[in-house]
Amino acid sequence: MEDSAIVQLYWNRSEEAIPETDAKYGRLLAQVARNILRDALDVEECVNDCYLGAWNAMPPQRPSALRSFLCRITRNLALDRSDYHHAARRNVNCTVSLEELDSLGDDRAPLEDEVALADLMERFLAGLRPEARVIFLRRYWFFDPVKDIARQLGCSEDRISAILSRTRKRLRTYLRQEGYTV
Amino acid sequence: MNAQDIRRMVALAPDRYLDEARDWRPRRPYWLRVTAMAACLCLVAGLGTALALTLWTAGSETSGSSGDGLLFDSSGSDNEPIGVADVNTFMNYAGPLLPLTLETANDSITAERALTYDFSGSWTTEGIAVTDSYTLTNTSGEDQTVTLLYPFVGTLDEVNAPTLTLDGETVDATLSFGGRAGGYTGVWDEDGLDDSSYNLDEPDCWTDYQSLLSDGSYQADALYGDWSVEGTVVVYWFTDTEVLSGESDAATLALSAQIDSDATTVYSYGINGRGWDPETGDFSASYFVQEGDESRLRCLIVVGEDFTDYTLQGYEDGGCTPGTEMEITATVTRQETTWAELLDTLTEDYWTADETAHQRFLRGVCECLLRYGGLSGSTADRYEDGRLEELFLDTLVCDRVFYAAVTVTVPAGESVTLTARLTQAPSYDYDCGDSGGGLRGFDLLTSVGSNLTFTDLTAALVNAEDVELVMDGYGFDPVNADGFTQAVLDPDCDRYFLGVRSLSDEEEN
Repeated sequence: MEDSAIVQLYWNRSEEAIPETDAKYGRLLAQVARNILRDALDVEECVNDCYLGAWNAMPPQRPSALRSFLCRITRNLALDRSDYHHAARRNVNCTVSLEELDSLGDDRAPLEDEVALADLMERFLAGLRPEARVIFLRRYWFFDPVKDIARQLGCSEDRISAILSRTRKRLRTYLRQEGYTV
Repeated sequence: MNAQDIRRMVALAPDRYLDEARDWRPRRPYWLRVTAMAACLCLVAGLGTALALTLWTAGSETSGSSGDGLLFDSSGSDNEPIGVADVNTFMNYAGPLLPLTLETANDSITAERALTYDFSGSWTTEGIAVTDSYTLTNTSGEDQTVTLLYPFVGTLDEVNAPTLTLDGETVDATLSFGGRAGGYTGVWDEDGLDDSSYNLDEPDCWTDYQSLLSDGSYQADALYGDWSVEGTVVVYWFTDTEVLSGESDAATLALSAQIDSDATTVYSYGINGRGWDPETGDFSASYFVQEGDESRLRCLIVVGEDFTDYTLQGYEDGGCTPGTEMEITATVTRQETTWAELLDTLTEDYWTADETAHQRFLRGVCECLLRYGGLSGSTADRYEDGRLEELFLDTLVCDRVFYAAVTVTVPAGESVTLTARLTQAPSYDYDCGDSGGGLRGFDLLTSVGSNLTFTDLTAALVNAEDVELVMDGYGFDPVNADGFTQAVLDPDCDRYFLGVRSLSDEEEN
């Protein structure tokens, strides 16, 4: 079923929206959650909570990119859940990924402005070569293991790691050039 | 910016890039490689190795011949050949080793080229030490004075210039450089790649350099191109920004004005947010007020009709939403100056470097601005918003070709030897499959962009005991009982490729 039709089901308050979403995106959403959480039950609950979140969000929202919309909900729910359970129930792969990202940060008070952060991210990603951008997001947004990224893209793990390392370095340089302390 | 900010920032990645990340497939589909491999194996089986290799060489994608036809995957038990297509593009392409050329062609000069690849040290990450030596012979009866140009791939922030020696004596070379080696490309959406120019399209294949250098225009531009930026601008400098009351971690100061886009173009530096409504002509620009950031240069650069009036207003964050006003002040200083002076100031602020490097950076920025930026007449979408930092960063980190120039007199009937020592960074190839784990690629171009006549071309490996030749277009055989590590190459073959990996890394893995 087309995404627009699935969205319309939500808007029509049709309960068919959930099984249709599950049929099309259930596996992907489970993978997103599984990359963050260790426990299979947590993963299942997280995906179900995503459907509930989607049900509550549509209407009023009418996402133009349903897949990313659902992935975003799942990711947020899974991260919240992993925080709630402390790191103990978090997938070790996700922990490593977050630590790699955290290494870029400093001890300053958090910034409040999400608009600025989104703009920063968008411009940084726009400046990357597509391959590097894909690897960066698969690792730090979807928390895919390096091994999986290497297999999917047909190259070795150490090459993926090297590219991630360069991209993190470029992100640090970029943030500094933008006037941020990192 | 703390770790939580970094996480939040990544979480805010736009949908279109998330879709791209999920949908991305390597450029050459797996089935294509399997088909190519199967077809080649059939050739090997049916015609024998020698004939298969001949056909492979003939199957190069380019009009010229290519040494990557002689490729073997020594990791496989059957010593299977690797198709040409598999080693042409790279995910992270470091650029090829390029051949020496003369500033002005001279038929009296012939050249013998001898290369040595040294695999000692951390070559898998830092690259291999290359000694690229040329014996130049004057075949005429008169002395010939020529300017030698040694080209190499680098970036303005990491030039990595070669060390040049002439008959064993170190010589100082004059460095020139061309524009960005790559271009711009569109954005992926559900219909594929659009025709915009928002993204960088960097070279990922030796043929990109072949296209860039073949007709000589890039070299001419590097040596003689006039990239001086003319014209005057009005600059509004923002200094002494101060929050008078209220507290916010993302306090923002915004300038609002009316502009006519047909008459006015506004560039910015150090400005975080910009907005313009084409219907009303409302223009706004804003920046965050961060503690410890007072010394940062911030300005708006107005070209064409100046602002007739403007207002300043502080806000709690970059959204600049009515109802979130704060009391923030700044000193705004209006200055009339030239583009040249302004860019000199801004590039110095942007990147800390010695004067030589700064002047190179400034020249690169001018070239980019004139060729792709607001002064080009057809601005790339990437720079449409007028943020100069974007253009500065691209100028600094994108690959380009440099030329190290040395003038030498070659006596009649005699020879001189120029030797370049440099580090060639490794390329990472996407399409090598699992058999290429740890693979590093090194490209050599033999004649592209060169007006020299090469009579001899050889290559040798040094300290290669722990190196596995996965893809060898040269014909090296370091594991041969005779210790044969040299190869005689064909100067008429456009490109040679070496795909190697470290045996010691493999053992560690």
